[in-house]
Amino acid sequence: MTYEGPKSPGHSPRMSIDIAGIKLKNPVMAASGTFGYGEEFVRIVDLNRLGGIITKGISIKPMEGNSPPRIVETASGMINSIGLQNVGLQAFIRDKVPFLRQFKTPVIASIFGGTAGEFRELAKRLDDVPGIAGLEVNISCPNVAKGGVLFGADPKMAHLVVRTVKRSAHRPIIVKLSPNVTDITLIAKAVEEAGADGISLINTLMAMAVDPQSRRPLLDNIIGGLSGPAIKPVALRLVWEAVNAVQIPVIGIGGIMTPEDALEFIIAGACAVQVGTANFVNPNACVEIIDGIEAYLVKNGFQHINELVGSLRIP
Amino acid sequence: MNSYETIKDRSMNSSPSVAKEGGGPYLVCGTLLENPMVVSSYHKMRIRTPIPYEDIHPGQFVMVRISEEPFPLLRRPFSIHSLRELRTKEGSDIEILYKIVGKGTNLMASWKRGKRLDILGPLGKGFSLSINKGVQVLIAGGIGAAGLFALGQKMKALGLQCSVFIGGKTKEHILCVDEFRGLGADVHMATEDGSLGFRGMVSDMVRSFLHGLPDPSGLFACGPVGMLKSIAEIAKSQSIPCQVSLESRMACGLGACLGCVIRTKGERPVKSQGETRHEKGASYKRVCKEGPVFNSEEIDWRKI
Repeated sequence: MTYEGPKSPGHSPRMSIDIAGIKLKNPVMAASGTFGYGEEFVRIVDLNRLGGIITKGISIKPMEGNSPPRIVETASGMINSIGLQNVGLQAFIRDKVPFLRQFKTPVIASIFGGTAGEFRELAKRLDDVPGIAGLEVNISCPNVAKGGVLFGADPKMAHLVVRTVKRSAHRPIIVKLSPNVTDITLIAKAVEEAGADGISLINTLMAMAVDPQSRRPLLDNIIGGLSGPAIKPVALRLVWEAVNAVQIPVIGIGGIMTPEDALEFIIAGACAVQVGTANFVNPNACVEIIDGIEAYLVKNGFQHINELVGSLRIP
Repeated sequence: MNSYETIKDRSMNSSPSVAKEGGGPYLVCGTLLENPMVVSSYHKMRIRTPIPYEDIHPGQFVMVRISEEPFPLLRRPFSIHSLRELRTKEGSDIEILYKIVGKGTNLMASWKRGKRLDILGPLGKGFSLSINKGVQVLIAGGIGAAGLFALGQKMKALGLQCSVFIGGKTKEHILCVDEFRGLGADVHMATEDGSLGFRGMVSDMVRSFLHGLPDPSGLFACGPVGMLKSIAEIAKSQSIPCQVSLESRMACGLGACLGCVIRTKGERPVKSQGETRHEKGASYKRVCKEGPVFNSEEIDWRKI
C-alpha cells in the first residue's frame, strides 16, 4: 500500500475505524468540554479532518455553571470547575447541531443528568435528531453535587443510568468514566453489562490548589478537575485496567498532547483516543496528532491502526 | 522563504479557505523583533505577524504560547498594545506590553530577537468606536495602559480628541506617558504615593476632571478591578457611556473552555411551558468572546 497521507488528509484507509458502530475516518476525537460545539474552532481547524467531535455536555435545561474563578493552571496541567455550564438540550438541537451537521465528521453528543429520568429524556429527545452519531453518557463529571460523581462512583447507579439510556437510544452509547473511584474495573464491567457500546476514560481527577499568600483556594468552587499532561500516566494505567476488564471498545482520554501520547493509549489497548486540554494550548492539536499517528503507522510498516491496538509487548 | 509562515505547514494547509474570509482569529507564527525592558519588571515585545492589519481592533488580544513543554502549559493572553500595518500589506507588527508576574512572563522576558512565536489572535471583542465627537477620556491603571494605547492610536486616526489618565502605585508603575503624548493627547498622571503627578487614586482625578468638562463623550478604562469599579460608578452618576477592558484567567481564548466568565446583569433565557423567554437576571459572559471589553453597565460589579 502506498502512503498517501498528506494528499488525502484524514481519509487514509489505514486510519479508519469502527467504534461501537460509529464509523470514524481516524481514531482521534475532540473531547467534550474542550471543543465547545465545534463553531469556536472552525476558523482555525478543519473540522472535516477530525475523527469525531464530542460536544460540550448537555443537560435538559440550560445551566449557568459555577462562580468564577473557574480555572487555574498547575504543574503540567490545569484544574477546572466550570460546573457543566451549557445551553441546554433545546438550544443544542436548534442552534448547535445544524452547524455541526455540515461537516463530514461524526458528532457524539455528551449528556448528563441529575437523575436517571433526566438521562432517559435526553437520550429520547436526541434519538431522532439528524447529525448525531451517538451519545457519550457522562456519569463522571465531578463538578455538580447532584449528578456526576454519584452515578460514576457506584456500580449499581452506573448500571441503572446506562440501562435507562440504552433503552431509549437507538444509536450507540459510550459511557465516560470517572477516575475518582477505588476500582475502575467494577464500574467498567457494570456499564458493559448494562449495555454500553463502549467506554471512554478518564474524566478529570479531582484536585485543588491554594494561594499561600491569601490562604484562599484558587477556585471559587474550592475543588475542581485536573486535566492535561499531569494526568496522562494515571489515565494510561486506568485505560489499561479497563481494557483488561471489558470486551467493548475503550476510548483513551487524559493528557494527550502529542502523537506519541496517543500511541501510548492505543498500544495499551484503546481503539481510539480523545484529545482535551491540548485543544486549549494548540487549537490544531487533533489534526497534528492524526498526522503524527499516520506517519508512525507508515514508518513502522503497519497496514492498519487496528494492528497497533493492544499491541503492548509485555516481557 | 517567507519570514512568517504559519506555525506548522500542516496548519497552513488546513486553513487557507478559512483565512480568506477575513476577521480571524488566526493561528500564526510571528517573529520577535525586539523585547526590551521599558521600566523595571515591564517589557515591551514587538512581533511581526501575518495577521491582516484590518482584522485587528483596539481592545482585542492575542494568546501567546509560552512553551512547547508541558509546563507552563497554557497560552497567556495579552492585549494588543499597539499595531502598525506592514508596508507590504502582508501583515502587521503588533506590540505587547507586559509585566513580569510569574513563570510564563519570566520566560517571555528572556526571549531574544528573531525567536519564532506561536500566536493566536486577534481574539475577543474590542472597543466600540461608535461614539460621539467630544473629549474621549482614557483611564489606565498600571499595566492597564497596555490595553488602551491601540485605542489612542485609532482615535488619533479618526481625529478624536483624547484625554489620558494614567495611574499607578508609584512613579515606577506609570506607563506609556510619552507614547500617549506622541499621539497629541493631554496626559494626566496620578500615583498613590505622590511620587509623580496627582497624589491619590486616578479615579478621583478623573472625577474632578469630568466636573469641569463641558462635553465628555466616553470613558474607556483598563486596569485593576477596584479602579474599574470606581470608574464605572463615576460613569453611571454622570451618565457618560463607559467601556471597560477586563482580565480573567483563561485557557483557550476561543470561547470553548468557559473558564474566563464574569458575572453580568444581562438577560438570560428561561424556559417555561415549552417556551423560551428572556428574563432579566444574572448570567455569565466569556471575557474572551463577549469581552474583554464590556459596557460598564453590563457588569455585575458586586460579583467581581
